[in-house]
Amino acid sequence: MSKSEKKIVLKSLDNEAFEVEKAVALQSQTIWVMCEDKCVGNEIPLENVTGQILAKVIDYCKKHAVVDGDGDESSEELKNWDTEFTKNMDQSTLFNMILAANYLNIKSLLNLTCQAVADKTKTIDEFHTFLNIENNFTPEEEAQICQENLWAFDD
Amino acid sequence: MDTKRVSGSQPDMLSSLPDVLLILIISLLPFNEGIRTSVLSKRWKNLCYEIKNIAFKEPNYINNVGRILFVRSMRLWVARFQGIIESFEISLSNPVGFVADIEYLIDFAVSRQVKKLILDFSNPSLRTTLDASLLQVVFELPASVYRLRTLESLCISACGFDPSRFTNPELLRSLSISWISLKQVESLLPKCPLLESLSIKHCWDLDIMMIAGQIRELVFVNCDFPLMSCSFDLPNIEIFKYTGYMICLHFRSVNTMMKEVYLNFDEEKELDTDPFAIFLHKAGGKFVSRLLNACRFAKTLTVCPYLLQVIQECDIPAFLLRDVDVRYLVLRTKMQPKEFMGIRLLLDNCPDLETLTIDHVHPKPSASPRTSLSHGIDPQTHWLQNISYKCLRRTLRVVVFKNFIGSFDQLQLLQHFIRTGDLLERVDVHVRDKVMKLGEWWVRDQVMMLQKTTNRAKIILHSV
Repeated sequence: MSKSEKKIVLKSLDNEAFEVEKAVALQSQTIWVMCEDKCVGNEIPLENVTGQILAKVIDYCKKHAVVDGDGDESSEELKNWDTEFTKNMDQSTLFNMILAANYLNIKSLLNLTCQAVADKTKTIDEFHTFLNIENNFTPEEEAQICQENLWAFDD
Repeated sequence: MDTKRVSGSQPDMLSSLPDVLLILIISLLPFNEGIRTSVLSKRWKNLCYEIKNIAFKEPNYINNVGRILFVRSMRLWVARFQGIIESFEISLSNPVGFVADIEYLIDFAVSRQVKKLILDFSNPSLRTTLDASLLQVVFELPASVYRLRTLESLCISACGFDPSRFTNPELLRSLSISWISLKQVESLLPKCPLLESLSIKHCWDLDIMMIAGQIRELVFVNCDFPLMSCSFDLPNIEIFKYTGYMICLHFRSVNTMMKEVYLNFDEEKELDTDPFAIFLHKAGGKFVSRLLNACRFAKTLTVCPYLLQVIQECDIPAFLLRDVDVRYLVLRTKMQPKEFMGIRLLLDNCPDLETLTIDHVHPKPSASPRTSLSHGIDPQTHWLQNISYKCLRRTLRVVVFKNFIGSFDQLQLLQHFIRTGDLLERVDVHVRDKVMKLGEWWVRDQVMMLQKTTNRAKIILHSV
């Protein structure tokens, strides 16, 4: 009985169910609030996250969960794990992870995934290509913006 | 599973992220790069005015007109700012003539409840605290900062301040102070129950007698301690780093939480003539032995040539170095014979050592073996003796040699470890690029020669 109470089922947008330890899931502030409200049973529907992304989020939460003295991993190891975790994510996964982290309200994961995007976009050109942004300024408008904060464009 | 995935080149990928998240991303870029995103597209034009981490850093090459323009654009920029500030940084060396502007900017950050404040007014051409102490402090911390309740991290350089004036530093976790005459910092510490990290660099007139509290990380770099001593009562300390001249550093109790200790003492130049230097050299042995014993739970320890010279001078039985818990030892050494006894003492007292790094400071290319005895040690044969240590028989698996040039003394020491390290798996030899260019064939020859002496350990050459 007490064992099942420790577990919780998360259901993705595409109806995939994941059974996880409560301590793992509660890193999400959103899930934590849902559990506090007791408006849900042991199963929590997550309407904004696909199974593919949720699986990754759970991987992350498992790694970062502190379960009964099990969180003995050194901070350096965790850092390396984090780097590996986002290193080979393609752009669409990364964006969906950001959205999921934001929806689930997992601050450290949100920071990690945003940092991964920031790391991949060091120059304006990289921004244009990586984020697929179309420049809809006229050259005059662009020049004027540069002029406003000249010190930041100058190097 | 992959059916819902949109391909990477779909243009609506970005529009799926709301502005709040885009702001989060650009806040993690270096500040100037974050601002440059304003030219990406119309949607991005004003996002930069919500960046959470603001850092105004004066460009290096700037002339006086440039400085005036830079200060003016800082003011214009904050006037347009819309968002919430996490961190706020200003770096402007010697800000003569800009005091009112900077106060305005800091007051702005304070009004936005800044959490992390970084103010650097130091002059990069200054090298020593003595040079700096002859100059007047141009900028004093404004009154608004002393009252700020939200401050979690404060980093100030060449910025005058009075530690006793802080009224609400309850949330302060990290404090870093540099290039200033620092008095009565002790009065601030009891007011900061959450303070975890304290770093004091290039400060003078330090009158600290005792640092107590919950601090986890303590760093001193090249400070001037007129009292020549400093005591600590820090039961939670994990990281302790000291760079500067030898003073009496005294922990009141053994630090069970200690993880990392870094000690880098200046070498006394005229040891033979200056009576004070001789006194310190003698006393140093006691100081460092007692210090290392108090820090014996540290897993990582870095020591310097001066420590290796003086540690053997300890003649008080109660202070003598005993077994420590170190797993990772970094010996920064000049490989002078007068350091050899210190090296042996340390190895002998690190029974669980797993990785040993020898960082040879300023190696000399033609260190031809001298035959004369130095400090009772014959440098030619010292490492040929059959000395072994517990760690070499039981735990040491990796030796790293930094600044390898293939000189006689380096080879002797390495051969010593290869010969006596029963479990040695790997020797990493780091060679500077410069050295590689000059004599790659020589270095490779030496590494090959070392490899021939062992089947057990792999000798790996790294060019760095």
